[in-house]
Amino acid sequence: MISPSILMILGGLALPLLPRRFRSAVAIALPLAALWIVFNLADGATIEAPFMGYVLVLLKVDRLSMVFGAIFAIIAAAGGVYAYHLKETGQQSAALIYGGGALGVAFAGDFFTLLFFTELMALSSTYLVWARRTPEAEKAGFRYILMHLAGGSLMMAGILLHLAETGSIALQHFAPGGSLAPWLILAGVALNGAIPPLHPWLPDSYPKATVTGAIFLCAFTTKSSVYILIRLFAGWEILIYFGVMMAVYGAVYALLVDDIRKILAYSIISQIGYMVTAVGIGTSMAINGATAHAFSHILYKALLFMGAGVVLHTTGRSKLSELGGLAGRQRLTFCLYMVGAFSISGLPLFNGFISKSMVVSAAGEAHLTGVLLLLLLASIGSWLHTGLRLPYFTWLGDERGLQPKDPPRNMLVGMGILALLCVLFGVAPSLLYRHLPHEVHFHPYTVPHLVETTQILILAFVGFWLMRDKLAGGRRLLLDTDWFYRRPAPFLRKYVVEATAHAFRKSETLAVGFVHALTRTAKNPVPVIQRMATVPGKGITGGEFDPDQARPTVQFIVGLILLTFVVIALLILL
Amino acid sequence: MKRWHWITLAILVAASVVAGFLGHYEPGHGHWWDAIPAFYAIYGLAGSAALIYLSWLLGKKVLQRGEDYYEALEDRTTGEEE
Repeated sequence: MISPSILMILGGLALPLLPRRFRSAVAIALPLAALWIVFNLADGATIEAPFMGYVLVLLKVDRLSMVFGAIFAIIAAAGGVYAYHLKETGQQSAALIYGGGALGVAFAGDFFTLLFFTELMALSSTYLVWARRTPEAEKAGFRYILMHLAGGSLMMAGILLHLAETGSIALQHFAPGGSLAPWLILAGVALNGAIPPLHPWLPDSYPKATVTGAIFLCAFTTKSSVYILIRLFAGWEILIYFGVMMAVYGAVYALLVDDIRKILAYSIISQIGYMVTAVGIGTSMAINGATAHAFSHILYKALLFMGAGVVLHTTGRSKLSELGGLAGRQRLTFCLYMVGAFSISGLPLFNGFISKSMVVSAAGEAHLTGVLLLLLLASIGSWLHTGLRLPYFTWLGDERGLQPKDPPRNMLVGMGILALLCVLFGVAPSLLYRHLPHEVHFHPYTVPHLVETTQILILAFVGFWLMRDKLAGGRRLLLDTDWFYRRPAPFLRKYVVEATAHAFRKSETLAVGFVHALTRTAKNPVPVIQRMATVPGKGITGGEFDPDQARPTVQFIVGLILLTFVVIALLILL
Repeated sequence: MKRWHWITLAILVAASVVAGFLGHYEPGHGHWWDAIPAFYAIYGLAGSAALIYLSWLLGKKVLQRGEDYYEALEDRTTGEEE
C-alpha cells in the first residue's frame, strides 16, 4: 500500500527530471493515480513509521478522510487539465506537492504528520503566488507566507503543549473548552481556514496568484482546515458564531470589491462560514453537511476561479470596472462559469443545492433560528455577488469593445469537467451522500426546499436588478483587518527597523573613532602630553618636540624604575 | 431583461407560493414564519435590498480608500526622512 500524498509529493519532486513534453500529462496522471489509490483504500487501513521515539501515522483511513482525499485528488487532476498548456515546471511541481500536502492532511493520523503536511502546503502554495512575478504578487506572497508561518507556529505550540499534557500525539477530538492546547491549535487552524479576523491573507494573495495557481489555492488550504476542524473541534459552540459572522462578512466584501478574483476570494470566506457553522453545530447531520458542502464547494469554486482565470488570461484585465460585454465572444466560458454560479447560489439541480440546504436544515433541526436566517441571508449574498454581480459586469453590462484572444482549449476542457461534476452531483445527490461520514437521512428535493429556494432566488434577483448600479465596482481599495498589520508597517519599519539600524550605525562610528584615537595616542603620546601640559596663555614648554633633548630624562627614570624592581626582587628572595 | 423573462419569473413565484400551502415541513421542524405566506419571497427581496444598500453604505462611509492607499502611506513615511 502506498500513501497517495507521498506519491504526489515524490512525483512533484521528480517532475523536473522528466522530459519537458511529458510533464503536463504527468501532472494530470499523478492526481488520477492518487484518486485511484484513495478509492481502493480500505476503511481503517494505516501506514505507520517510527520517528524519534514516537509512532507517526502517515495514513489512517476512515469515511471522513476518504471524502476529503477523493475531492483533493479530483481537483488536482482537473486543475492539471486546466493548466495543461503551462510550460512552467516550477508551478506544476508546486501544485503537485501542494495537492500531496492536502492529501497528507486528510489522511494524517497524528499531530506531527498533520503539522508537517500543513507547513508543506503553506510553502508550496506560496510559490503559486510568487510565480505571477509581479511586484504586488511578490509582496502579497511574503505577507501570505508570514501569516501561514504564524498559524503554523500557533499550531505547533498547541501540539507541543498537548503532548506535554497527555503524552500522546494521536489525533483526537477535543472536548470544548478545557486547556490552552486545543485553543492554540484552533487559532492556527482558524488562520489557515481564513476565519475572520485572521482571514486577510486570503483576499490579499489569491487575486494576485497565477491564473492556474489560483485553482489549487482556492481548493486546498481552507478546505483542509475545514477537515481539521471537523476532526478535532466538532461541536465547539464558538464556531457557530464565527461561522455565521464569516458567512455574512465575506458576502458584504464580495459585493464591494472590484477585482473578479477578489470577489471569489471573499466568496470563499462566506462559503467556509457555512462549513464552520456546521462544524460548530456538530450533529451528525451538520457534520455530513459540512463535509458535503466542502466537497461541492471545491468543485464549483474551482470552476468559478477557472472562469475568472480565462477572463484574465484572454483580456489581461480582472477588474469589474474595466470589463463588460464579453459574453458575445466568450459564450462557452460564460455558460460554464454560470454553472458554477448556479451551484454556489444553490439552484436546484446544481451541487450547491444538495449540500448548502443540508447545512441550513441542520441549523433548523438544532433550533438555531437566528443562525438559519443569517445563513439564508449569506446565501442571498452568494447569489448576488458570485451569481449575478460578477457575471453581469464581466460578460454582460457595458460593451467596452474588448477583443479577448482565444483561451487554450484545455482551460475550457477543465471547466467542462468540473461543470459536469457540479450538475452530476446536483442531479444525483446520493452519489455523494452515500460516502458521507454519517448515514444520511436528508432529502434535498422536497417541496418546502424548492419553494424556499425559488422565492429567495427570484426575489433577490429582482433586488439586484433594481439596485445593480450600487454594485458596479470602481477603482478603490477596501480596508480589511490586514489594516492592522499593513497600516503600521511603514511606521514600524521607520521607527523600529530603521531607527535601530541607525543607532547601531552611530554607535559603530563612535566606537571605531574612539579606538582610532586611542591607537594614535598610544603610538606617540608626547604631543598629547605636551598639549595637556600647556596651560593656555602661560605656556611652559614651548617649541617643537626634540627626542634628543627628552632622551636623558627618560633614560634616568626608566633606569630608576628597573633598579627599584631589582631591589624589591632581592629583598623578597633573601 | 425582456417582458417574457419577467412574466416567467412572476409565474414561478406565484407557483411557489401556491406550492408553499401544499408542502409541509416535517412536524417538529416548523418555524414561526411558516404561517406567513410567501415569507421567503419577502425575505429574499428585503434581504437582497438590505445587503446591497448596507454594503454600499459601509463601503462608502467606512471602508473605501484610494487604490494606492498602502503604497502612498509607505511613500509618505519614507519621504519624511529625506
